[in-house]
Amino acid sequence: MASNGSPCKRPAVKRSLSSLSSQINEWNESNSGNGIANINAKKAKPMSSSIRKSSYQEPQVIMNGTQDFMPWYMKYEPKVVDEVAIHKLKLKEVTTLLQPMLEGKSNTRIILLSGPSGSSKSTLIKLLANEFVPKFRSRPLNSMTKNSQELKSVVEYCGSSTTVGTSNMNSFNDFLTQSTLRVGSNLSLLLVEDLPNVFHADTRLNFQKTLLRWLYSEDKKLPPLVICLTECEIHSNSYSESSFSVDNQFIAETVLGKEVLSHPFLTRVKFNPINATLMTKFLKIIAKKERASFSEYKWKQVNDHIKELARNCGDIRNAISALEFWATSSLEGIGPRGDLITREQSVSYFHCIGKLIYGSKELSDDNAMINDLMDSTSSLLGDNLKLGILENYSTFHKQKFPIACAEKIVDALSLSDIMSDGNLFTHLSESLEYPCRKLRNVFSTLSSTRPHQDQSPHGRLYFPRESKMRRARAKFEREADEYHDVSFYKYQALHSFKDICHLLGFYAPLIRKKRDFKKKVLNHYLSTLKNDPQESLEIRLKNKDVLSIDDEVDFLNRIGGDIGGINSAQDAAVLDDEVSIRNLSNFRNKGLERLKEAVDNRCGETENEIDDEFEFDPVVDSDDTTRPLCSVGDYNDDDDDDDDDDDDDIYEMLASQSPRKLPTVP
Amino acid sequence: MSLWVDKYRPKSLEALSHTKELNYFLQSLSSEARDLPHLLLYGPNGSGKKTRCMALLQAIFGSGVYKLKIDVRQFTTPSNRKLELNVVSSPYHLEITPSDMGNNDRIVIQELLKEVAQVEQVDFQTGSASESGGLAHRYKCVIINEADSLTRDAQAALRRTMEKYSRNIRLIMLCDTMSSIIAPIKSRCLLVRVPSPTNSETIDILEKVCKDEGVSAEAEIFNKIADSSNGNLRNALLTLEAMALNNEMSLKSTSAIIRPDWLVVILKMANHILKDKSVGCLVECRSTLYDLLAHCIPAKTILQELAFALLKNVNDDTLKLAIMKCASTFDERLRLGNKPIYHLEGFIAKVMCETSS
Repeated sequence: MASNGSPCKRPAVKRSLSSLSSQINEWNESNSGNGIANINAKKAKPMSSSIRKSSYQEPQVIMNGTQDFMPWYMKYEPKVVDEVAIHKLKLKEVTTLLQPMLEGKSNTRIILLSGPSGSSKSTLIKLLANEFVPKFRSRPLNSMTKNSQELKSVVEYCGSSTTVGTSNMNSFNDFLTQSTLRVGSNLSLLLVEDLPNVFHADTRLNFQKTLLRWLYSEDKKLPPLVICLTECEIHSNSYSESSFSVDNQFIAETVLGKEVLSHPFLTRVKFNPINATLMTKFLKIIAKKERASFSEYKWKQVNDHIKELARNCGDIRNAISALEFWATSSLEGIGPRGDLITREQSVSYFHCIGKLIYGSKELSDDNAMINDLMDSTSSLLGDNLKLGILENYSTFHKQKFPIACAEKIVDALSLSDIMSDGNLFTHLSESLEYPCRKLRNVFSTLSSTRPHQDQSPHGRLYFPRESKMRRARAKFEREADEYHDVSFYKYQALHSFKDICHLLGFYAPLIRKKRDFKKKVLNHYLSTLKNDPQESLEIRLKNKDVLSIDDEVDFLNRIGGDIGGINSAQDAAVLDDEVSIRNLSNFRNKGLERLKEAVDNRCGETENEIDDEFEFDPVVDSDDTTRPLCSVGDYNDDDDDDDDDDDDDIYEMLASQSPRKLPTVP
Repeated sequence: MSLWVDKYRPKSLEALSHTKELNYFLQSLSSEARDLPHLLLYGPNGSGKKTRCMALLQAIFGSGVYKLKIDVRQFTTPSNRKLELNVVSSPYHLEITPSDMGNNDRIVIQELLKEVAQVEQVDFQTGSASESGGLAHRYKCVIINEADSLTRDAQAALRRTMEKYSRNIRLIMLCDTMSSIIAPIKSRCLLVRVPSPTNSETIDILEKVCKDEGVSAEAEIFNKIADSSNGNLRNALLTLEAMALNNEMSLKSTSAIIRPDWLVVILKMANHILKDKSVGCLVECRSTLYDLLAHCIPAKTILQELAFALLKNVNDDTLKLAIMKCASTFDERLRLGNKPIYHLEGFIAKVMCETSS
């Protein structure tokens, strides 16, 4: 903030703010790589103002003169809880959650406050902490030395404090470890506003693990931990990346992961954008206090302007800045309407889909609503929006509408998918608009004939399953590749990907599983034949194909998992999946490496040697099966029906025995 | 042990079991190994194209063609992206599958063929081949699997390459259908149709396998398997093995046929669609569709199987016509669009509408 600013310089404050927010919007430009810098830039806003005042009892150090030059949103930052712009119920929810936690009577260990920016999350929690924390602090025995007033009520995690360049993957962990003793006489609230760089997968996993450790910790007395998460959507340009992940949906599900979120010791409070009534109230209070800043001409319009601001913007910080700018700018011509400068109220993904399916309350004219939507939602949403429509149109009227309507909608979607100008990845701009209008058109005729007037027609909206499907597909492809390698190196058989998809992916594991079972039965039998190595050898020879199954290498389960339907749950199992896929890739590696080595070794030998080895070294283990097929074929010619009957006898015999007896057979 | 389908795969021309006429034809080709033409083998899935192709190579080069190895080759696209491709090869041939290379198949094919062609093949078996005219085979064979999935671009590039390097390279292309192969390529190849085995041929093969494996089976069941496999020998053998293992190596005529799970799912879906024409059913179908797609079942196959399953369940001719019409519409859209789920769901919704009146 400018220390010697004159009134004409004030707009600069607003501008730097808007550049900040535009920076947030353009995250995806500079996405993953230097994400941390951006986070810090964003988080800097609330912190810089509030940290300093974390103990509000202190007398204001800022002199009256300089106070004028602070941006209004800092100047009029709430000083007591009652001043916070928040719905009463929400306030009560947070209070009733926080109090028992501070008393140590609650199971909740983490409170997660999530919501869009400027919805009073951090302001509220800081003020509440200042009010309650000193109350619940137990008096230290040697209370003479310490005045509990001097202790900070809030301890904040500063991810940015570590020097640039050093790894701060563990900084969060360190922070929590250091803070575990902030209980009892120096009780304080741990506040996490500034996250580690969650765009970096490992850091994010580390962060989640740390939180889990905190949740599962044996320690009964832990200071209350509050996480303020400013959620936002980051519009992704890249077509292929349109999945539900932290890179384009910066929300609790993607940042914290399913496991943390569903833990019973974590309570989540969702904040909504501040509603128009509250917003108007607070803006009017501020305007009254700043009466001097308004010119006569503007003062007349101020109520209209505030109303307009409140209608357009649920972000109180931004609304105050906009009001300040309007009041102090020298431009007299700016009317209450027209060139309103507020943060673009981005329509969130689900909000957008909801509007399309159920229509909008404010705008009764669907065409105008869709025009608005098409302007505001960046076309970047593109395919994702269409998939969202497909996923969710059926929630209308709880699926109770004629199939013909559904047909129209899906048909429109299908048509829009082929509206391209030759290039596979660029759709015509109309291709998004068409299904949207069709959808509205179909449903607007239906909504007048709502079947059950009493129950709410709104269903739950889901995130499209496309990304889930793509992940499952990637998993299938990886497994198919592995299967290909296994069957090549172990059985000398080449299978095309197509065949694996159609037939082998199902049949081969089925067959191998049966054989694996047989092998286990046979092994039991063989263990009873220790005294008769000759016979045991013979049986091994005869049942080579069964014994060669190796459950470390062979596929015993349907490739890609059983077909059972992909659920549409909105939850973001994304992060967990990433980990499991990573583990999966290592699962079969060892066995495969062994097979490859065996093949390489064999390549050096001449065929003659292989045959020799085959005749004189009949003891079977899985490595042996890498022998070329021709020799195996020879071997099989020796097989006669007798052997297989034998095999069956063994099988029958063992199957009839109860499993408990088996080990006791000498 | 390898699957029966691999274990009983014939390794030489003499051992090939069905469609005898074709075997004589291939034998005569192999006897004139010196000027083997480019070949285009076409025929339905599981009819033995690859088997015949390998058997032919075996007849020409000896059993060395079965000594396969996989190496990773690197290619660079014009946009400087590195591509890695697994190439299966023996000393005498190498094979590629266009679906592994995605949109860059033109570059891969050109580079690979050029690389192969620049190396003159030295024939170490000259001595033994002297009676068949010396230097019998100084070329390397390149097998292109699934040639029908080559892009137009790649096919056009192939045309030029085929002429330029025909001295050192012989191409053997395998495809299910010739309709997407461009005419210039067809004209440069000797076209060989590989028909699928007739039911009686399939039954013979199944019987032989059962005898060798010691599976006792009632004759009726072979018929059933052959019917359900639809002329796909691979399918028939896999079904046989799965069933044999499931039934303790003795098949009764009443034993249940084991079909691929995805096919069963599609059949169920078809029944469901015709019984319950509601939005709820449509939503259930969508999750099934997503699952099928997740298992890499091509959208086209899903549409095709679904359409046929629906046709089976409908008796009215006008309805059949309507279903076929829907199927063809959405088949085209599948080809043009890039998110199959819209079109598959669109098809189901449309069929529900058409059949509900």
